Amino acid sequence: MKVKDLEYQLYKNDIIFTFSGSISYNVLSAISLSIKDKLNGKDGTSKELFNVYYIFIELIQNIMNYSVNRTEDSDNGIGTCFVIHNKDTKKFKVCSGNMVSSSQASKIEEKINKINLLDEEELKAYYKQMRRSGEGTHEKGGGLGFIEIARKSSKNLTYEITKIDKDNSYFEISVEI
Amino acid sequence: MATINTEKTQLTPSILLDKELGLVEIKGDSLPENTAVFYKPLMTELKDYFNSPKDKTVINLEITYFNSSSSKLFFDFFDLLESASKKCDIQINWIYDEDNESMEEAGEDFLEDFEDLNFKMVTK
Repeated sequence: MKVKDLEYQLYKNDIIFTFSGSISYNVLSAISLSIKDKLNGKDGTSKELFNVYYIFIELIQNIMNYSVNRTEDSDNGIGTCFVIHNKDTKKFKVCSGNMVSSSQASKIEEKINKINLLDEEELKAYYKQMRRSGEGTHEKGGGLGFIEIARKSSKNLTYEITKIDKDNSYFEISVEI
Repeated sequence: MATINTEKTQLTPSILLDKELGLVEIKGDSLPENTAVFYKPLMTELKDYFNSPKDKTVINLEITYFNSSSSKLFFDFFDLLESASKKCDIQINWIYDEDNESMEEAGEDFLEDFEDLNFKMVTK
């Protein structure tokens, strides 16, 4: 694999920002600054740009909290996340992928399938219900991430879960703004 | 002297709690490493403050971005304020930039959930 070829692939696929690897809080901090920089001045309403940033950061935090292929010497999550800004339509798309346990994969699947059945008003009601009840709250978050991502996206969430072995699956998600 | 006076960082807001003035201020982005741990001092001291609150308490919230785990925390924060507002006067100002539609909507979401609170949307 040549760097030149990879760079060409990124360019050809309109990938304007990408991160792949192990994500600590320091890395998150750096990513947050660089994506803000990258989005600054891009075509789009301020709400669209805010939503791209919001979704990217939520997906990065999901990788930090749920990915299973942690390095031996740290508990950082490992995964890949990128932003596409289509040259013709000017639309944004945020994608991420990481390894999760098979039990986690089933939970994610159930959650996203449920979210995808809801319209805008129902999503808002579901978000508020989950926030009020504290159901789904765990030590790392409020369990609201995917619902808020869906509220900030213009289409259904597209995802794919690929079984890797008995215990692990690869989860990828694509969110259109 | 303020009980809590935390400086703002790139990913965490500044937090001020002055029990003498009856003033709470949270300003900036909220993306802490651990949300519960980050806001624990504020939540603990605020509970303590409401044991003997001032006649009027002002809460100024000027949050420019918050992640989903902060959203849950803020809900619990307003829940605490709602309980306390039964015995003292609390004024909440949700301050947002006119151009920041997302923070306007986030404020409205909280406003709808806490109808009994004196919750004012303030543009700057």
